[in-house]
Amino acid sequence: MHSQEVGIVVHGTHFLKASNELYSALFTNISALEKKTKKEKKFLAVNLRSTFQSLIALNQTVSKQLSAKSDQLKEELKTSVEEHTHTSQNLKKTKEEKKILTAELSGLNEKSQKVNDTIKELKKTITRHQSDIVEADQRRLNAALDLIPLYGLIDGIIKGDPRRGIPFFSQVNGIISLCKKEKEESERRLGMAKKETKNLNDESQALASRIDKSEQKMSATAKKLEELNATILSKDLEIKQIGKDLTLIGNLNISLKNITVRHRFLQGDLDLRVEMIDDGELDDNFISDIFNAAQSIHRTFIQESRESLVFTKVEWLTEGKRPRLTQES
Amino acid sequence: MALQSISPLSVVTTENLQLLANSSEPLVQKQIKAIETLFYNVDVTKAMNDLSNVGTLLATAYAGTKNHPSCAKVVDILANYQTLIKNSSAATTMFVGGSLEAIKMHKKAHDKASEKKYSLAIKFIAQCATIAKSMENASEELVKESALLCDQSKEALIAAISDEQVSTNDRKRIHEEINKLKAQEASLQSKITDLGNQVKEEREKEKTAAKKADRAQTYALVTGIISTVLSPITLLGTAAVKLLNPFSNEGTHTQQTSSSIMFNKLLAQIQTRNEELVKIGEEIDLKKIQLEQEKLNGGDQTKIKTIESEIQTLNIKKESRTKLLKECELALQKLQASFEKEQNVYLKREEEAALKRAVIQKEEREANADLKKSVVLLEGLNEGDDELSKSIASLEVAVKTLGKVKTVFENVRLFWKGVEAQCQSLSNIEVLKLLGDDEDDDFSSEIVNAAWNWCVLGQICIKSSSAIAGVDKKVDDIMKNLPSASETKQLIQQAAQQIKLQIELGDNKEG
Repeated sequence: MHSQEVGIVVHGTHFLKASNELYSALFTNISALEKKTKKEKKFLAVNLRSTFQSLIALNQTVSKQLSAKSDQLKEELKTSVEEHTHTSQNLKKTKEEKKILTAELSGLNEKSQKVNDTIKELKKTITRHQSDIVEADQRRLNAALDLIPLYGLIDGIIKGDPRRGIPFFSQVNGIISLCKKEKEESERRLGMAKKETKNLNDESQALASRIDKSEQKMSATAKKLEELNATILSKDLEIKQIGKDLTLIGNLNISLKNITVRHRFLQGDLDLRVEMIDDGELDDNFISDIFNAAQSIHRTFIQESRESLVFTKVEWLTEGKRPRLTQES
Repeated sequence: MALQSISPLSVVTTENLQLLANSSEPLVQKQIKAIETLFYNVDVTKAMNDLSNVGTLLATAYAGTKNHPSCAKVVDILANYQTLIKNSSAATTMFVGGSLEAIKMHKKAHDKASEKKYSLAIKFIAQCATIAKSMENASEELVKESALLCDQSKEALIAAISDEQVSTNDRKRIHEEINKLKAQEASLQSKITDLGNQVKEEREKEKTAAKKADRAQTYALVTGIISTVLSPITLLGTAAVKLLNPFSNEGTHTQQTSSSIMFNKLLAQIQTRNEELVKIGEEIDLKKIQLEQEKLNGGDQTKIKTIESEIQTLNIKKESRTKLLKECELALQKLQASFEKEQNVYLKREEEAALKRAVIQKEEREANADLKKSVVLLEGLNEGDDELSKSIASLEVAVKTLGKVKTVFENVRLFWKGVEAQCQSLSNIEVLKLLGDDEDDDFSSEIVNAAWNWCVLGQICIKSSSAIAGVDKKVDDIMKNLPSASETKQLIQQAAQQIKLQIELGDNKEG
């Protein structure tokens, strides 16, 4: 067992080795106890007691380390949950921002659609005015043709325009003027429609630019949401892992505590026996009692350590990072 | 089982302890009851059973508070609860073992006392005091842990209530926004309808003005033509004049302006004058023929003079009609100017209507965009409202759960406080020491009494241990699988109703 700046190392195999050494000393003492004199027995019993004390001290050290680790993990768990909450609230806020952006974008798209619809209508109007201009031109041409004797009359009758039957120069000239005026009017209206179209095109362009900006914002928000979701997922995994590690460490600590308690009882018993040696009241079953108890504890220890301790390694990674618990091979 | 055979000093195993606890012997029960009442203010079995259910409640509270600040407090409780359960489990195991160990020591002390080896007996009893002291320390730790959990539960409860309040306020704000948007939506819809009507109206005005402008323009031109070609028209006769009227076929007066009415009147006058002129011309021609014939026939000078005079009168009449026609020509010229003015007025109106229509259409587009925005915002707000209502429901469950948890931890604290007090009492062996020193006869009976005390502690710890045994695995399962954000939703949906019902049923029972 050794410590590092970044924390305490609890290494299953190291702990087991140290424990085994102590157990080995314990059994040597117990087996030797039978053959000794009262004084020697007392000496050995005292030694035995100190072996138990060492075992208890070893267990307590590891238990304290595990408790410290557990406390640290609890803090990390709390921090992770706080970070998860913070990220979730950020996610909620970003979702709200996205909703507002969606609404704004919908409004802009709607406006753009309506502008384009109006532009389409205006295009129809422009086409109509252009056609009016062509028609006025045609009528002017017809009127000019009417200057040719009888042409207008005949053509007028054919085309159902009896006014063309008045073959007076002035009147024909008047019709020419009328057509010209009509053309001018259509041109004026065409101009108005074109001006309105231009305004709308400008508006449409401005809208397109705003839509583009909003879409860029939307895309950035979507990216942020993706990142936040990924952070939440990773925090969830982290929380789960800390929960697992806490459980592992908790169980490890309980195993050690249980062993420590049994060692303590045994140590207490030994304390009593040491005193009883002085009183000449040493129990006949003392040696077998101690031996059986020690064996029982050892069995439990081996069994429990196999289940949790031996196969578990607490790895302290680089500074500032959380330890990772892995199974020892 | 006879009372002797169930003497506390005969207890060696946990089974013996349980047998003693379950004994129907009134004296035994009385003894157990007396000690229990002395140290324990809570129902031990209930307190421990409740503690075993806390895991589920905390897991639900964790799910309920997920994504809220109070969640960190709940997870802290959950982690400390796991520690409490493990430490409680270790403690109860240790206490059962310790009690059995102490009873064994008491048996030995009793034996030594029977042999009058009082000092040795005291040593055995003193060993039990050490066990009791370590148990007292362990109990004290558990009291502290339970008290901490109790405090943490209170804090978490306050935090969850605060979160619930925040969510409720958020929901209130959302409801206000929803109502505002709904009102805005209705107002916008009405505005859009209104603007649509205005656009129609302006379009109609624009059309009418254009039509009127076109009419005025045509009138102006025709009036101009007529005024210029008035004499040739005269030669053509009334049919030609009628033909010149560009709106002669309309036959309606609804679209006629004062100028067009004037135009028609003038045209009618021209027609009349024209007809008169033609008639006068014909009469003059006839008189001229008569005059020629009279002159050729060498007729009566008086008759010739009369004819000449009539021709003269007719010529005067003709001149007067021509003058009138000239006046009509002048009137037509004035009318032309009036038509031109009228045309300009209508053109201006047309332009104004077009501009107004464009402005209204722009306003209409804005209103449509605002409406669309409102509708989408409303959808989002409804979604948010739905999420918040679920969140509030989850927090409600969490608040109820944490309230329950707090009580459980308080009872657990009281339980360990009782154990601590009992251990304290057991570690105090001053009376036994005094009796032993005086080699008192009551010493042995005091040892039996103390053994009873250990028996009761042991059997209480067996009860606790069996209640906690299953919990350890349960809390490990919860901690090993802390629900993720998505799992939380499912969990709370499944558990919320059930747990709410359980809590309410529990509350009613307690009430």
